[in-house]
Amino acid sequence: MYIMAILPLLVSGQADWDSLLDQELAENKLNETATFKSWRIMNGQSVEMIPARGLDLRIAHRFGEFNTTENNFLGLDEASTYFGLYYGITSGLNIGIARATYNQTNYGFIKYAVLKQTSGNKSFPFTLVFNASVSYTSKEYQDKIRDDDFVSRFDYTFQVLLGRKFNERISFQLTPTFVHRNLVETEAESNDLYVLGVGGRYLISPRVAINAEYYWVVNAQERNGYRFYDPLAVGVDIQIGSHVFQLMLTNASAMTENKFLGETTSHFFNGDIRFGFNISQIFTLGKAKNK
Amino acid sequence: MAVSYSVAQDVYFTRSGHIYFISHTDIIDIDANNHQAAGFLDVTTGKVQCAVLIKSFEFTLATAKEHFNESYMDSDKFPKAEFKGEIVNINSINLAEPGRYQATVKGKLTIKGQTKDLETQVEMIVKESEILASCSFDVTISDFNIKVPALVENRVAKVVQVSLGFKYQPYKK
Repeated sequence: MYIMAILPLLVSGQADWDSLLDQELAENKLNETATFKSWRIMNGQSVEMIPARGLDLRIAHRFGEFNTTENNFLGLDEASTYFGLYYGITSGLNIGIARATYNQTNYGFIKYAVLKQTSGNKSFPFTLVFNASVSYTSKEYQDKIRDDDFVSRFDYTFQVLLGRKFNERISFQLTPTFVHRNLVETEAESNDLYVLGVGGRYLISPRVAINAEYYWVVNAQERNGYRFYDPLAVGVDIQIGSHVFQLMLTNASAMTENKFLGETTSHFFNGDIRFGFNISQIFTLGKAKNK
Repeated sequence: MAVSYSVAQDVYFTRSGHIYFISHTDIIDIDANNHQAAGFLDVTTGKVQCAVLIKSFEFTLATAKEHFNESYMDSDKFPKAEFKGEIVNINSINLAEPGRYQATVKGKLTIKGQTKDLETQVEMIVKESEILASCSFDVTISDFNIKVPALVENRVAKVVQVSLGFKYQPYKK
């Protein structure tokens, strides 16, 4: 009888390790990774940060509209292009530069992760990132005074990126955005734009995700009787090794925030849709051996 | 009798065990560290058990962590790797006495839901109030249902080298 009473104690002393180890692991600090596959959802920045010493070489194209009447092979004969280099100083601080053919824009950004979503017992529900970008329009203007006005060529974008990975498949992002253009084309236009972006992804396989991204320009502008439209993009991310291919349908032809938020002239639901892609290749500088 | 069995200093514990692994190929080395492994060691019975979360491995290479978790380890479904075993030569070494010992550890390694036998030599350095244990072993990734896409086949090693360094301290409940 006495022995029978002791036996469960002996057994439980060993079985305990399973649950004690699980309790310990639950205390692990875990940064949520891969909220999105790339640093851009489609057109705009995502909460995803480039890891420390990661260098991203990025090439993007937006072609002409499918429904154009011109003979240009469903828009593929014309392209707005973008060439960029992004770098992770740390996994919380990224910078980047780019050149876009749209208005011959030189572009730079700095992105800072303030809070990161973590899981485990010490969890935090979302990732909060600040992004600031500056665009310099280098195109030539007919008007000599306009052409010489250096300051007028700068536009600024400030964004708060609020992202959450709900589960392995579903991520969502809210992106309140403020754009200031130093000079706009017509007097009727506002220099400032107030924008709310929403974006999300659905992972269909480990290497393929479907993304969608929409920006609501709250104070949508008009120029000489033509209105500008909200940019919308729907597409797929395909990840192969250190490459991410993003293929999309969108109404925006520009790829810098000031222009795709401020000057998208195509209306998605009118069928003014174009094909576009972003290609990203990430390299790790420093320690890793890569022949 | 029951009381004497569970005397605290028999059982040593760590919550900051270090695990390193490297996949070495001619093209690229992919390596990762984890400093949050948890483990128990019973110096009288020789029982050892440790576990680690797949998601808390941090990689040298940018974006490798994401590939590792999403494409290779399916870490939402299989969140941890685990080892349960015992020191087979516990009767010939006295881990209660400070010193340096070679222990032979034999047990079951579980990664990605697959369990395989593992036997390895562990160096144990017993000090006044801590035990340092270190070992290394190879893991054949196909044993654990880890599949490499044909496209990157020559960039991921078929056998991954793993090394562990655990600093155990007396377990306090």
